[in-house]
Amino acid sequence: MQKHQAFMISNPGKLQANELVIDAVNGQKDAVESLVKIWYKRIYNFTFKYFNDHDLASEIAQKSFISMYRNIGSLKNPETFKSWLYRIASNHCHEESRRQKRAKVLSFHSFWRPDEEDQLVERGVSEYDPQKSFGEKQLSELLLEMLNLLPAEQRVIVIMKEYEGFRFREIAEILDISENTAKSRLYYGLSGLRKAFEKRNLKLENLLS
Amino acid sequence: MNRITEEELMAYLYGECNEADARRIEKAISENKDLEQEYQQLRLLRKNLAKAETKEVVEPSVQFGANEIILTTMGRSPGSGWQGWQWLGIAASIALILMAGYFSKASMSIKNGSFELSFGEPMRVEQELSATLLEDLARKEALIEKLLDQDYVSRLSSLESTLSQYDEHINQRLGSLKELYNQELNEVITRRLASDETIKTWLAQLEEANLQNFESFSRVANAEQQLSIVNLLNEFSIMLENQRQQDLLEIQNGLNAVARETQQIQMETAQAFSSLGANPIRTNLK
Repeated sequence: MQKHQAFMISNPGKLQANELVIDAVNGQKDAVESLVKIWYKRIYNFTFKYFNDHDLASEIAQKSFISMYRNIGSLKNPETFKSWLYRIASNHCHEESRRQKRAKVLSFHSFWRPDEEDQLVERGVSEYDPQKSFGEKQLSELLLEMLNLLPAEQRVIVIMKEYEGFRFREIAEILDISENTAKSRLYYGLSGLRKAFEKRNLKLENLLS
Repeated sequence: MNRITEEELMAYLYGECNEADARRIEKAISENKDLEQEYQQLRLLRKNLAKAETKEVVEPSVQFGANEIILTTMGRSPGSGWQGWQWLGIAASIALILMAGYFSKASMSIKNGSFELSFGEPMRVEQELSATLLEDLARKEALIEKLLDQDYVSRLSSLESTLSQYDEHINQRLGSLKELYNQELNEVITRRLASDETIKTWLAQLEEANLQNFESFSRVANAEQQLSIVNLLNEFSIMLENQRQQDLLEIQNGLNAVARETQQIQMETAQAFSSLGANPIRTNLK
């Protein structure tokens, strides 16, 4: 199933991590297992921030690693493993997001419920005290809730930039878009978040207690 | 040119622009209050975004199929909508229902295409039997009895035949065993008799040998005893003779000593009388 390949290592500093990837590419199962152990937490947190749902995040993370195992034989350059893995994960996220969207269009609720963002913001206005500050856990939950108001293509870039530490060049490569598009989507994503906070009368200065 | 694009602002916010661009953007921010406010708000937003927690998660166990990888987590697995505790809840519910059913004596049945669910002891329904039904029942009862009788006779006959076969077999077996036993017994008796005869012969031989040994021993012993006694008597007579001689010698010596003492006493008496004649007795008076 796996193709055995030889690689030219361009960066000796990454030799050890790359060796693991090379072993996995060459079909060594223990290397695949090690990669799962090393990357699972990060991929899970990426998908969790994307969906703000533990079960869904676990499911998508697992699907991502199953895809990784199936396709790692086709990985050409071990140094691009991280980007490659996130591309798989983000593709699964988008796929699930589209599936949910289709399901929503067909659901009865969508005919009578107002726009979700407005509804959430309305709910937020009634629930949150503008002067209120939050504990770290509450703030974390609020931030994830806000992130999930963003369109998927903006949300994924905010997550990749803020929490996964990718450079714009890498994000562009993962999502197969231009760097400027990545920057632009991030700008609108951040602006959307600011507006969501404003609509809830929540001041960024007061959020942290 | 003070116009700063959204892309440039993002590059500056995340420190991914070159020095020249950075200086240009800094200058633009310092000159444009709206831009500065926007920039500060974005920085503040980033500060808040950094507060989102990283979730701790248990890594799944990894297993490999023929061409597949299987990841198993403590939570929900892909494709399944149920978690462990939900299955546990269902199992507990089923167990509770079964217990309730057991104690309430619930029963389910399907009769003539209809499903029946009942609780407790079944109710007895008295039915009026029609004459036809009774007649039919009597006929069936008679038929059953007949069949049972036939079956009983047939079974009894078969049983008797089997028993007689067993008897015959047992008798044959007993006969052969008895014959075998008698043979064994005769052999044992014969062996025992032979053995007794051998023992008797051996005992007689032993007795004769003992007797001979005893007689020879007695003979030897008597001669030796006689010789010994003679020797002893001789030695004893010699000893008596010696003792008598010694005693006689001692008596002679004694008599001689008495004679010498008598002579000495006579001499001393004579001397005493002679001294009394020469020297009269003086009293010691004052």
